[in-house]
Amino acid sequence: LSTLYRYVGRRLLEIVPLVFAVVAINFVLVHLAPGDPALFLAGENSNSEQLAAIRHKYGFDQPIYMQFATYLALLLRGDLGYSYFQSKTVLQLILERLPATLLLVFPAYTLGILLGTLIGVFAAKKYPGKTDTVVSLSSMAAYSAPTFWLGMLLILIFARDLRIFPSFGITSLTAEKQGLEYALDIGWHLFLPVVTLMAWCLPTFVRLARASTIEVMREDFMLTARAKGLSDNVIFFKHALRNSLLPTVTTAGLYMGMIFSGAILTETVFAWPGMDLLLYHSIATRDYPVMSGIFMFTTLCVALAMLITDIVCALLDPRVVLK
Amino acid sequence: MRKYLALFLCILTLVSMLPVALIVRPVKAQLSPLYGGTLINAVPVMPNTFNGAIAYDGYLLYEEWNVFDQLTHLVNGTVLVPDLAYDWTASPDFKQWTFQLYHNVTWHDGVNFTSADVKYTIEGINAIQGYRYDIFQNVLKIDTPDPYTVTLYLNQSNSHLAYDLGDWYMAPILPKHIFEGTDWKTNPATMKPIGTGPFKFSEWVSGDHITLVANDNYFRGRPYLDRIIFRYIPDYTTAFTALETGEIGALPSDYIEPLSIPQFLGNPAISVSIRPDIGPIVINFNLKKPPFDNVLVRRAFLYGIDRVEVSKRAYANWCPPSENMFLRGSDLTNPAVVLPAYNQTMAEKLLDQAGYPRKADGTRFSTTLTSSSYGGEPDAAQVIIEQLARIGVKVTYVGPLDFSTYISKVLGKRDFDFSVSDGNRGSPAQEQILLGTTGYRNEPQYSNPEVDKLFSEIRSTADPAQIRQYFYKIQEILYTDLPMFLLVDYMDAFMNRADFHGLPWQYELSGGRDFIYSKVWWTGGTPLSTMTTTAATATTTAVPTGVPAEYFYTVTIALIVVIIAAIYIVARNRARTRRSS
Repeated sequence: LSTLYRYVGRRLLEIVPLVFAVVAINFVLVHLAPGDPALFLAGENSNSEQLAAIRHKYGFDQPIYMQFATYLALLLRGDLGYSYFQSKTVLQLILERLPATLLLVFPAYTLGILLGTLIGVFAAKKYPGKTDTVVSLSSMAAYSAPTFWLGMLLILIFARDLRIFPSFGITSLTAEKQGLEYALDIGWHLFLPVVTLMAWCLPTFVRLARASTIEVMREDFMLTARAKGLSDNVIFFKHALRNSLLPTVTTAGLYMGMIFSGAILTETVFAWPGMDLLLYHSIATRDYPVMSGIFMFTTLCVALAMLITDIVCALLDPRVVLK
Repeated sequence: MRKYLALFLCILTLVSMLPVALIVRPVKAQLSPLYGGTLINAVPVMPNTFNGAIAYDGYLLYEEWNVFDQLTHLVNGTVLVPDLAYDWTASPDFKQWTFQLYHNVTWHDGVNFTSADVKYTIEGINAIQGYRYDIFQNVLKIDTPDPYTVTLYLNQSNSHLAYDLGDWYMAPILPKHIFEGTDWKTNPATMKPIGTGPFKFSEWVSGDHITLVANDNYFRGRPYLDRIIFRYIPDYTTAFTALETGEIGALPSDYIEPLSIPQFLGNPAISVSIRPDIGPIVINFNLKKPPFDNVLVRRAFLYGIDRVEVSKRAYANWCPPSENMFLRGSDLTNPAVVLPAYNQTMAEKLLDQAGYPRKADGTRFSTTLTSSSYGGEPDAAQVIIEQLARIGVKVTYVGPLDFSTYISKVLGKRDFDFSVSDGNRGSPAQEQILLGTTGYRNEPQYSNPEVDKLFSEIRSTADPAQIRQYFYKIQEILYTDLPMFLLVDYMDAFMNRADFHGLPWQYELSGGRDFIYSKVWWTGGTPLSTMTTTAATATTTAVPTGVPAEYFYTVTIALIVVIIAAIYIVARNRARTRRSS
């Protein structure tokens, strides 16, 4: 167990240079992109004097390495900075919007992985055969469908034509709702965005689980298991599944970070008031501190998710050694 | 028998009253606004703060206009009406302006509004170089002789000050008692405002919505609606669907590009309003770069770009092709300066003259066309590129660029050849920003001392006839120099559910106060007791016109059915009585 502690400690230390690198790259990329936040602060009717005054006030007129040093100094004190436009700190803004994103991402992510893996394993069990072909083809089709397109399609069918789900938002605003009624209202609004986001990650896991299960079934130890006279179910669930799930766990870790950035399209289409909609708004107005803050938050999430993934993999597979 | 006859007559009388009731109802609905209800208005971008004086925030307009007031108000971009000031006068040299303020105005927290608030706001904006500093930086001194009088002393003449203060960029007056001695940016009222406007702030859920509630003590009378919710919907398709399903009540023009208007016409539940915009779509030339430093090339483009075709293909005929050097329908537009019709031969001739003959491959020269992503400009650019290919000009498109990128490329780095652009040109003052030598939105980098002189002469007079004369002359010079020309007159499309009336864009119902929702009312509302008498008068004076024919058919058929039924009942009863006897 002490190996595990040491491993976790070392990996946590490794996150520090990683985050630093990401912060540096983000900072440069964000500032390299064309556009000028001073224009948004000064407005259409501003003259060059006003723009210069604003650039000076916010430090946009300093060389980029000085701006980076200032930002880094703040960051080391645990300060993500202050939004150029909104009268709030970046941390305040992120924390305000995070719950809505988690509410959307968590069910979509868990359902996507669980259902995807189940369907994939099911298809592998039927391999080769018609069921497997159907599952493979439809997961390929779902994988290729763009999220925003799928979201719009669902809105048009279920909100406009059938009128069973609302087309946008997290709650209905016309009537005040309390308690259970309020929770049901959120669930009702949650359905279409969750399906959209789930459709984005589910096919990956179907294909992954299917491919790795089929591969494992062909291994020599499966032949041994059969030769021992084990029943089909025991062979499948105890020997095959445990081995075939390793790639799924690794990919699930990777998706943890991707799903945060992937939700930007879903949140935009459904006007879901989450963190990604904040990112969208801050990109449009060149609110650098908010952009960098969200990018750093996502980086941290991915790094931590990777760490957890490695540990889970080690627990699942005795061949994996933590060093 | 007599009893049945009486019953029959009663029914007949009642039924005959039905058409009257039907006729009166729709007319009455138009005449008497009802109180109550909630309007959900979509906004494509959420504002950053609720204090528009700190920095420019293009999307605070809707929310801010309903919570705050300014000194004056410019209706429909042209007519100046009172807002917080009921009267204003200027000294002959336009360096001293005095505003008389309404006495019965209170802030949403109950404190009286006075001239000290006006003085505090203007001085505060100048101290932080906040939004509208461009206007207020010329204010040297502010006097408040009594609580309801404010005098501004300017360091230079400005005959337009009252207009500048009233335009829709909004110069809100802030409460001194809330902001005094604090940092505006961190003051809680920057996010939870206290204003003087028709609606009070209620709630702001970040990234989701802002709720305003009716201000019962609004000095112009309580607004009709109980609440307005500004709901953030970034995606246009989602917003359209939400309007169709009735989840939202109104969709402002930011969402609707002319090409998408036809899909909403013919839906009785949705009312579409089309209004001319003061920012027409224009072609700007980079005068500092060849070949556009040559006026012959610019004139060739004027002939070689078919404005009628652009209007048809890029704007589905909703935005008419421009005909003059200024806004269609404005009394400031010089009718003698008329843009020529499309003429390919003329364009080719001018390019030959300019020294750009067709080369062996049929082309004359290559250039680039830059545009932002707004106002249907990318569509217009594609049509223009096709048209210019016909006269041998090979154009590469740069865009669509977002607002910030476009401005820094075209105005910052001057890195463009020619552009499809827009920009508000509702007045000579705005035209000076776009084409004066020091104008900060001067895309062509145009500089003509004669034009500059005429602009400054306009600034120092208030006589409309003289202003018109100077401005006519400017348009003549612009047509000769041709640093730019108008392409189409842009139209804004607004939509709302038909059960809401008096939206800011329905000028004839709302009085044309842009962005202000105090006159909006909902057909599902209820009349207040004070409104009953007005409603009754409206009913009796109502002229029964414009009632759909199906009302009459329905009523006639109903009448016949009732009569037959009555006769049948009477006859059957009579037979029964006869049998029993």
